[in-house]
Amino acid sequence: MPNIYSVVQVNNYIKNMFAQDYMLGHVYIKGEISNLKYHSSGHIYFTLKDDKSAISAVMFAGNRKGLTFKLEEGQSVVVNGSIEVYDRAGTYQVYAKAIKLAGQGDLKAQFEALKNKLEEMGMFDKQYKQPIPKYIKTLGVVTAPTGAAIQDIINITTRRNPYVQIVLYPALVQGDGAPQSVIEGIHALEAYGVDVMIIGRGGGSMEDLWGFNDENLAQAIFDCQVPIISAVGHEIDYTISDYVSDMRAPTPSAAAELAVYEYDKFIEQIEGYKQRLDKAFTYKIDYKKGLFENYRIRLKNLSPESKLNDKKMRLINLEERLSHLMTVKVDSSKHRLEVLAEKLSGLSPAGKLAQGFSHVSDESGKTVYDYKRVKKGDKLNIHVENGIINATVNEAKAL
Amino acid sequence: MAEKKLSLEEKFDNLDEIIEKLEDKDISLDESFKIYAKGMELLKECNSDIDSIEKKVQVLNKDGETHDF
Repeated sequence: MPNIYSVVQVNNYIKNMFAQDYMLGHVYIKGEISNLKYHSSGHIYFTLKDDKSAISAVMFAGNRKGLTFKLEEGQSVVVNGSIEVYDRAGTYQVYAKAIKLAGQGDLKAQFEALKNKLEEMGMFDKQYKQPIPKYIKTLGVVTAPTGAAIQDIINITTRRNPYVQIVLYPALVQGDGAPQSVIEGIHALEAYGVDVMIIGRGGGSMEDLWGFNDENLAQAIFDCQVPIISAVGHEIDYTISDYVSDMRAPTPSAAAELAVYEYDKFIEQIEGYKQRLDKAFTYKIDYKKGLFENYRIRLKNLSPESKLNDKKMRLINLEERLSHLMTVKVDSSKHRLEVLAEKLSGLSPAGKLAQGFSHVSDESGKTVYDYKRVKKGDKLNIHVENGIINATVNEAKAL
Repeated sequence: MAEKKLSLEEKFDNLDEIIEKLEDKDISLDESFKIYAKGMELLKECNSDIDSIEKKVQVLNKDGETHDF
């Protein structure tokens, strides 16, 4: 008796088998869109088919970020997702996580192939990059005359430096004729004589920017003697011309900033140089003046006049010292005299007389200080303070 | 441009050199005067290198003719 299974058991079994298969969980399927239905819930239902076969597909609202364009009937797309069983209907379908236009994959591959080829040829090599001159007078621009790119470049340039001449070569920057048009622009501006060139355009889809992934254009950029800044699309967009040009700018505005120096900064720099030059020169003069003054003083000190002055000074000095010493001497002499005078006055005979002593002299006026020199009857004069007494000697004898 | 003219960068480099020389103590006064004069001359040239007339955008065609944008 064979095992009998319910429908749900069978479908669950199959669903499980699908789920365990790695390949079915991560698959890329290329096909054409049909039976497209954008549901109000945000889910998208469609059938993916080619000329032999078809498969149902759904993209749930939650996965919509994997789709950057609007799906249309008949579009050739590559769907990335998983294949799972819808058990309620017993069918299997594609659960899409991301959908891309099929052509884009081809463009990517072409881009990579050309990039690798040119890279191997050495066209991106740093040694061929020309430096972007810092101070330009003429800026060449190859872009569409009506696009945002030229407006951005004009705005940035005139803001930074209104004295830079912009020469625009109006070029096709989209479609089949774009590469040839840009090449002609490069040649025309090179012949005209510009200091730097910006080639580029504003943002767009990969297809829009495709003209800048051209081998002939790459060759023209490479051959150009004028430094070229490539500015195609936005920051995230890379093109072949970005790689081969002398410099890549993320946007046309950025390219203008790279190409055009700021006039005000330049004037500031010039002013700075002027000040430094003046300062260095003034300093130099002052320094030399200082040296000169130094020598002058040294020389002056060595001159005969100076020596004479020295001597004069010495003389004056000596004189002063001498006169000072003299004064001291005189003063001290005066003082001494006073002292002596005082002493002398104490010793004066008149003073003695006042104290009651007397002075005795003989008739010839000689002072009597020896009793042997007088004899009885000699006349003597006795001097007292206020007069003279005449006396006669009665007796003279030793004490 | 057939004649070999100094670019602004080169002039700036020269100015840097001149200032460095002037700042050197050993250089003679006579020499100082000379290089100071040269520096001022360079500054004048730098200024006149800037053609300070506001420019209009020119459009260039294939034949090399230009007209206002």
